[in-house]
Amino acid sequence: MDAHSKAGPTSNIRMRNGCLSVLSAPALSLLKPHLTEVCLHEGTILWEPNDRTADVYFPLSGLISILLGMAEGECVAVGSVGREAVAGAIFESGRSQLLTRGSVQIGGTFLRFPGSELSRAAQKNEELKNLIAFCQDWVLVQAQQLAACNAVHSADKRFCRWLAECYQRMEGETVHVTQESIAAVLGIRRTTVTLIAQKLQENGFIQYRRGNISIPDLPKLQGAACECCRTLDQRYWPSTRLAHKAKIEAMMS
Amino acid sequence: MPLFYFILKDGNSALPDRDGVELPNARAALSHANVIARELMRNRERRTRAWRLQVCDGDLQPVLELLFAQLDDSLSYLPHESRQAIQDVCRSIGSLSDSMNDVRTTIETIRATIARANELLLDSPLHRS
Repeated sequence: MDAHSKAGPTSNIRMRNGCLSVLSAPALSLLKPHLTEVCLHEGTILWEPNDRTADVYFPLSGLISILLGMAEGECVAVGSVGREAVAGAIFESGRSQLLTRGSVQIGGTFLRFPGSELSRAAQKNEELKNLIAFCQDWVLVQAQQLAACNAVHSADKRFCRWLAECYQRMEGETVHVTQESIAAVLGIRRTTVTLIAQKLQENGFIQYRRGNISIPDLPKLQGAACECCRTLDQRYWPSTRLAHKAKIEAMMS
Repeated sequence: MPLFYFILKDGNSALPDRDGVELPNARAALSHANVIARELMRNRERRTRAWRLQVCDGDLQPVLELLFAQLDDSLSYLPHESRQAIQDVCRSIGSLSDSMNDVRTTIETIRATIARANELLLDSPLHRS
């Protein structure tokens, strides 16, 4: 499954994942012994429905999509996780049936951590308990917003929303993604994605070359996206909420 | 399997799907075009009624053209004559946009030709002397 893996995280992991960057040293010390850095390609399946034992992934780059499969094999994204959070089947806990599948949407570097170990560590540490709760919230709020978005917004606006969100979470990197992959996430045909991308390129919203999408003007792209782009902003990111919580606790103590 | 290309005409430009799609026959291409047009139109029907999706064969020869207004389910509550009238208006808007785009292209070609002619004139021995 892994294109490349090595034991033990690199020294600057804190800087590369938003949640790890705000955890205190004691909380991080509970995670460090079990973190493994892996490079994963687009399309790698990280967990299958009902896989309660699956690992969790802290993206250092790239993006993970949370997909819901239909009987005829189609999969539609009900959420995605980048450097602002952690992805894994355990963030659906509390339900009797785990419906989703996790898949690498944009290839990159990730830190893998055993899911069961995270639950155990969270019993000993309040910050990690918050991390799990905020990531569960993040998955839920995205699913709620996307359900409404898919019902009432047009394909071009949803495409712009998805792209702007990716760009923000990847902190301004060029988005490397195939049109087939975008089509699968948005639940539309590849031809539709190509025609929308052509129009956006013609109007100067994006530059698309050989699977690389660069965004010259993010506010302009956000202006062309649906309102969900502004609703699902950084306030909901687990990394932001953890940082906010840490700040409040520091002020109280 | 034969290759089909899908070109979106949105009144301002003709946007091609350069990769094309392999489909068994023209009937399957029409069915694919129907799905694409509906996906492009969904939740913005009023603004896209005059758009058209042209299907071309592997040699880029037009096979058929779909007018979005023909597929617009949001008009289904209207009597047949009213729907037909809206489709006719949309078709006319499409033809008008095509003509305006043709004029625009011609003007650009003329401008380029004049610019090239000016360059040649400036370079000519007659002008230099």
